[in-house]
Amino acid sequence: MLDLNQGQLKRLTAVHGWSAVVLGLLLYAVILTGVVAVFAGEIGRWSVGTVRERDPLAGTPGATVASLAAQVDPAFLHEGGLWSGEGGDLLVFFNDHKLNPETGVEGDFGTMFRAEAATGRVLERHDGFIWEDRAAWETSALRQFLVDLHVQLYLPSPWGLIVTGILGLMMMAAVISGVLMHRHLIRDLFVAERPGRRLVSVRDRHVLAGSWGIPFAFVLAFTGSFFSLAGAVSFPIVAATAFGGDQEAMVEVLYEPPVAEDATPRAPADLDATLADSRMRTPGEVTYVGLSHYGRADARVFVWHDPAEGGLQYVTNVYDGATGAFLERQAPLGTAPSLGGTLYGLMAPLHFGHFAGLLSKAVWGALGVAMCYVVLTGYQLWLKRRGDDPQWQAFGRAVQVTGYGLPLAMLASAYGFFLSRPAGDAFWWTPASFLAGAVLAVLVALAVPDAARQARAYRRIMGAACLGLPVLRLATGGMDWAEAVLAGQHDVLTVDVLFIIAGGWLWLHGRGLGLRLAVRRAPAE
Amino acid sequence: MWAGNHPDWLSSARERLGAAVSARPLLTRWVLAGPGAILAALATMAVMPLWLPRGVAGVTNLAFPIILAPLIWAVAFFYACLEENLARGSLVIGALVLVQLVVALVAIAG
Repeated sequence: MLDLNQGQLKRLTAVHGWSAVVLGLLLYAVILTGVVAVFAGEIGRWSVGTVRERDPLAGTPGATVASLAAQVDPAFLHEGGLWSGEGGDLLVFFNDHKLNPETGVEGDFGTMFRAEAATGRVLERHDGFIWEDRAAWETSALRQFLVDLHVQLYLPSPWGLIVTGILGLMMMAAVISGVLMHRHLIRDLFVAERPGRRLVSVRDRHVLAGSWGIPFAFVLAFTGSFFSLAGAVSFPIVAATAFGGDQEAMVEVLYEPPVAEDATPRAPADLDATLADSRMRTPGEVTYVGLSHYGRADARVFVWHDPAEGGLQYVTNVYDGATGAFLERQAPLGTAPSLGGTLYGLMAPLHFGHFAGLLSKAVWGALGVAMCYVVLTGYQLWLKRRGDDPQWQAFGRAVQVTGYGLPLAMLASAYGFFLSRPAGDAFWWTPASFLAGAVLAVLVALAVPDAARQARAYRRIMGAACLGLPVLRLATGGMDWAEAVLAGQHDVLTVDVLFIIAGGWLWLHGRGLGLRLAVRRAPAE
Repeated sequence: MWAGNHPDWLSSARERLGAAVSARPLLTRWVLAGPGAILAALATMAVMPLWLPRGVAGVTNLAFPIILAPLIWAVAFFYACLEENLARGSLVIGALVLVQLVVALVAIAG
């Protein structure tokens, strides 16, 4: 531990407190939406609720891909890929690159299909800049909205990424300053809350949750700011000095193994045999298949697998797309395994927490909730010390509205999604309902000024909303429990039951949660 | 830090810097920890590809500045917060930014 003098400790305390006070509410938003985003896959399957007898990528999609490739402009065969939808559908795209006049940057221009994997029947076809139309490739508007909210706070790119990147840096500053300020880290890991509603009681809770969360908070802040800043800031800067600003050239060096150009037309190798071979070599589930120069002699197939049991990193097997021969296991970066590549490959599993399936996701989710608790108790500490100042009292009310309003608005977005799903545009109504939920949270604050009664009102509303969500899902055409169990889709049942438990708990224990945030005059310590 | 045999102009420049920093210590600390730390981190990232080895995969010099960007900022930020001698801190962060910026501009130009 560094031996810090009084002045240095004072500055660290200021960094720790002010960084959290100024950006803490946004940080709370990023962490809470991150907790939800960890379960993006489960939320997607729960909200869409389509029967899936078999993962299309675990089957034989070769004939479907060949048939779809014959339906697109040959120029689009330059690049492509496929992945599974939520049910028995397969998403397949082929594209070239073209300057997008709307964004002013080069984009993927081509065709995106949604096809029935078993029969190859085309369900939907979209042409143009394929990533611009979310409805073309995303089945759950709810999942897409919640992930967008976490990744870039629903702000336009790249500003949203820059904001979340700065929030990640601020979280790192709060963690590091917290560690440096800690005089008794080991003792604080086992601190017991002193009784009463005093300042020291709040501090005990904050220190206890914060101390246990230090490694996790650091990892999340570091990997999160890496993901946000890599594309928006780091890539352009490194490319400027290393490649004269040519980011495409840098991407090729980092991610695309060099291939000798050979445009000779050649019948593609059997994709099903390639996938079967890849599954034999790598036990993790196939999640994505990349295609390059489809139908040419220099074609390549990239088969992505989830980390296998005991592993942390994605595995990508590379095949010759013309002969079907296995070429190599691709390094995460560059042409060979390296320390840089390994570190890079660790970023995703450490941030998303999906390296050990649902168990690691549950741990990541729980630690994320603990981090939200650290942010909120940090505010309690800060505000209790300043309880006499009317401006800080007003700020305390804003913290309470945000603390309860954000989960309430997220629940409202789910209501908007389900209500609009049968007939409306869910990609519009989901964010609109989030805004409506936020407005409702503000109206509750205006209607019920007393902090304790206000907190109880929020918990009751959220409890009722949680209890009603499974009913609404069923009423708007969602999969029922019997069907879900018979089809082996346990996500549907699990998420419904979790909502019912959370709703019941919020409703019944609304009085005693102890997360009352608005300022009250604290007794002198 | 100010002891030793230096040319008159250098000693005078140091004294002027010391006086300017002492007159506004809070502002100086804010500038160093805010824009100073950000610029130092960006400049360091920009020149790292030039001096880091490429490694067996040919990408080490590109991967490290991208992966370590948050940590590079954190080092500059906490140095600016904890440095007791503000004049020395200004000199270190100022030199980091200026020297690396010149190197980066030369590399970009050609």
